Amino acid sequence: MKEFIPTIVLDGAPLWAFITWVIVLSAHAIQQPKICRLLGYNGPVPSGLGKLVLLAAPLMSLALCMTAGPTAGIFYWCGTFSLAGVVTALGLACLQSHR
Amino acid sequence: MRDTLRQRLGWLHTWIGFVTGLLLCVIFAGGTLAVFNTEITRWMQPENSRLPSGLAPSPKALEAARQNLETLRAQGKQPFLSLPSVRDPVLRVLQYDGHEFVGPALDPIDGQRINVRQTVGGQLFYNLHFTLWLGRDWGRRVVDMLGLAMLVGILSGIIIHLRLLLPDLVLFRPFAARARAWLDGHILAGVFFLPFIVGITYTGVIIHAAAVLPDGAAIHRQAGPMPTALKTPQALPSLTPMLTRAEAEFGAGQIGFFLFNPHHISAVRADGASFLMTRDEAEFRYEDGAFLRHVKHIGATTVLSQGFRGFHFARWTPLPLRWLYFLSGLGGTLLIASGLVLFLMRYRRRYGNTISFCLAESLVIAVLVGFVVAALGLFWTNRLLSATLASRVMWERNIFMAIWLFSLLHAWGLVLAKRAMSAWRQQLLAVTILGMGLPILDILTRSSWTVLLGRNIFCAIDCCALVVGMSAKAIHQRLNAPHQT
Repeated sequence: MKEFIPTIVLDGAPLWAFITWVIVLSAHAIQQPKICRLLGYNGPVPSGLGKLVLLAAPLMSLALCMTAGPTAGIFYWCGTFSLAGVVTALGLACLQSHR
Repeated sequence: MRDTLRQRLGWLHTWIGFVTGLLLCVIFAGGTLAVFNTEITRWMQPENSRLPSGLAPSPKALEAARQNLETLRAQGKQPFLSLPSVRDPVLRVLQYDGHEFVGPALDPIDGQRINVRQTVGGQLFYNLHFTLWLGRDWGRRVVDMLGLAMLVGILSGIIIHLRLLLPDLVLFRPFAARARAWLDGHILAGVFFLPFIVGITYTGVIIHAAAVLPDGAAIHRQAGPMPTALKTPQALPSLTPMLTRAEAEFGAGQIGFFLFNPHHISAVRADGASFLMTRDEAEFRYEDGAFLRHVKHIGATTVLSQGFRGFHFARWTPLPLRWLYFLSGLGGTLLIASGLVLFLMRYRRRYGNTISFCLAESLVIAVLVGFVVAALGLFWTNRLLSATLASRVMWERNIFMAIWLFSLLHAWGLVLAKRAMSAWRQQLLAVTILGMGLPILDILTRSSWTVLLGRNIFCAIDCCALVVGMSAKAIHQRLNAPHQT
């Protein structure tokens, strides 16, 4: 399995997992009326297939993290979730302040 | 009914959080720094900064280590030998001085004693984390009980916040009213670092569970690597054949240290060899260094315990994961810190003039800011004290404690004088100066800084100190704003 994945993806698995989490959490945020109100966001929100992708994305990132080994993979997955959550929240807070 | 439950849990969360939070914050901060305890020790011993990492010890170096060990054993001491690793490139002949493991460092190539300064290093934070310096037995008991209280606090916090957990997952309003901003920060840290915080607290409680069970501390003491002193220590055989034999059992570079037990010598598997912290060992005879047996700790309960230790001690982790541990520990510390600040905000209006509130506020200042001042002060002390000073370890430890105590007295005095904000501001200013000045101090007091500029532990620790200093400056400026007084 590993040999079919490009090296840049394998070596940067935690980074990709982090980016995936940021996207998923940002998409989750714009589905919340309270956050949309704070941001003044009226744009499109994920629905149907988009929601399915958002549900599948964390599983994909888990699979990617697992390439670092099952134990380390779980730790990377959870750790990047925590970090991405904080980064997303800070990013949204910055957007709020700009507004 | 549900609201009543939430209110009652709110009361429990508030009080259990504050009463235990002061010490839990210190435990979490100490543990966070202890993630990089070896690296902190290396920063505090700049004399060995030129050594490359990951060198295997040469036979000559092992022979020199053997001679050092024999000298110490002849003096009635109980040393052990820590082998070089990726994180720590030197051989260390260590002994426990009642607080820290101290001893000379040897070059892994020629065995020459590296003229490193004696320092408490990262071990200070490690000991603070798991005993609060209350001694091995009482310290573990207290820390374990606090861990249990932390689990109660976490559970009650989850139930209180459960209804808004998903909708407010990434909600953070730092520019809203101060109480709202702090509450958002508290929830944000609590929710996103929940897997880590629950895991690390639970494993910490389980690892030292025996300490709070009847006669558990005594069991702990018997199980630990604390051999009784021999009246006439036996001569040590050559270490090189033993290391070769042990590596044949566990793999090259997988041996962490040599222990010298009363009846045999143990070559113990390195803690960083795998997720499971097995402490498997190869035993050798004193007389001729002959291999006796291979001790493997097996069984379902043992493996579970090894897994808990692997999770908690994180010695197996690659560098990126170690940073994630560090950041998660920081998240846990911020969770508790923000909870303490919220407690003060909640009760300031009603009880702000009472002695008990003044005491609470000065304790919070000493824990949240004073600890950082003392920790940065320790880094400064390490570089400013003479490298050859006698009882240097004791000096460093005492200065750290003195700074922390001074911070408490300073806060107490100003809070009693109704100048609590001044106490916060002045101590934050101290953090700013010490944190932002540390990289300069490092450059001025380390001869090899130009050679090693770039990706190294010195650079990383200096950058962390700089970030801490800048953060303190930002908070200081916010407190200085007119509407914040």
